[in-house]
Amino acid sequence: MSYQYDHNYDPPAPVIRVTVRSLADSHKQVMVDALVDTGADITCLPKAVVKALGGEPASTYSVAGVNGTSLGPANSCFLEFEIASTKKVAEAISFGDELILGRNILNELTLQLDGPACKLSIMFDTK
Amino acid sequence: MILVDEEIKEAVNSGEVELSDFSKECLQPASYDLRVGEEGFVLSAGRVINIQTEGPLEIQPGDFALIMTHEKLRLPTNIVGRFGLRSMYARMGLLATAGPQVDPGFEGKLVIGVVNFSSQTVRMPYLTPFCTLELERLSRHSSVAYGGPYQGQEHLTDELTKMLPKEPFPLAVMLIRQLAAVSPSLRHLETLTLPRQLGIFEQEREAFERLKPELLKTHRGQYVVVRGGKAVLFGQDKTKLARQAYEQFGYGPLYIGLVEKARETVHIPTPRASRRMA
Repeated sequence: MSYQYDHNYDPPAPVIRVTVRSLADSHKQVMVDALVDTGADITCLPKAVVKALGGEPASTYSVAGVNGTSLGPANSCFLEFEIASTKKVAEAISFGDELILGRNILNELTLQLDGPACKLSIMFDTK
Repeated sequence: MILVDEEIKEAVNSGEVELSDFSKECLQPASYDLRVGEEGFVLSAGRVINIQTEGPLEIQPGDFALIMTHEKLRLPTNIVGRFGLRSMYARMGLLATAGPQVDPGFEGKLVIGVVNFSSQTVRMPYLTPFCTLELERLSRHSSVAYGGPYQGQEHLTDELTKMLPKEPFPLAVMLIRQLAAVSPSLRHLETLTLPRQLGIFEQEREAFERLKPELLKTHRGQYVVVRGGKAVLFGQDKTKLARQAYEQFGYGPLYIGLVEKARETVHIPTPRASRRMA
């Protein structure tokens, strides 16, 4: 499965179409293009999305940004992420205002980035 | 019959349909993505913008823009076209305005009007796929081909732009600006409900901190689920533990903590995210 880079980022950035679903109610779901960020330890979701999906907080992390600068605490929750027709329960923190796919999910995928063609391919489904 | 990807490719290869600079990357299961062309027009700027040389077309909240497609299209008299905005742009708050169809026999570049109903500026870079074209084969050839004023259009002309209103839609601009102005208050209202929702979670987290000194002696390095003020489950894999807890107790408030002295830290060195949190 292939995705075109999002040209709203400058330079264009790799994104993956993701459906995020509530664990309590599978009818509650959002489909968004998530930024692929191998630098992020964990997946980030905007608070408004977590709220809309009824995500129950399950844990608290200290968040460190560039150069380890503390960005404060953030609660996490567990939700279902559907990528390339494969569903997986994963943890995400309520942080920022866009969906960032961090390594807790990316490390389960085999991705190929074709920069010149601005194309990201998932080579095969999640484990 | 709507053409599927292979039929679109065959129609283009045989010359039945012309889609200039055809790219298989733009083929969708039953449509073809059209890209942002060289020319655009934004009402607030009041002039035709060369997107290729001047950079992405920037559509301000409430503003109206015309975007000419990169592709030149030519349809035979037995095929009709319909197009719509790609969903990612619809989700960003753009609304496309266009006639009901691309008539059989049309030849030229398409011009799509878009209104930005979001409170954010939307940027449309050159050659970005922004709308998708569906082609439908008719039961027979139409008796006449399209012969209207847009036949053969390849540029945004004065005739085209002078028909537009003189300034961005005032009502849309006013509504979007007012909503943007009150949104901080709405966010404040949202937070008022959080203490109730987070109450149990906060209690469980405090219980975890209270239990931690003892847990460090017995379960150091493991994850623990705290529910009802008690440590109820332990495990090495946090996600598996969460699933187990939700299966056992239902999807509700609990706290899952790592039995270590310091709180878990995650690194999000994405400058965009850091800037937005600052």
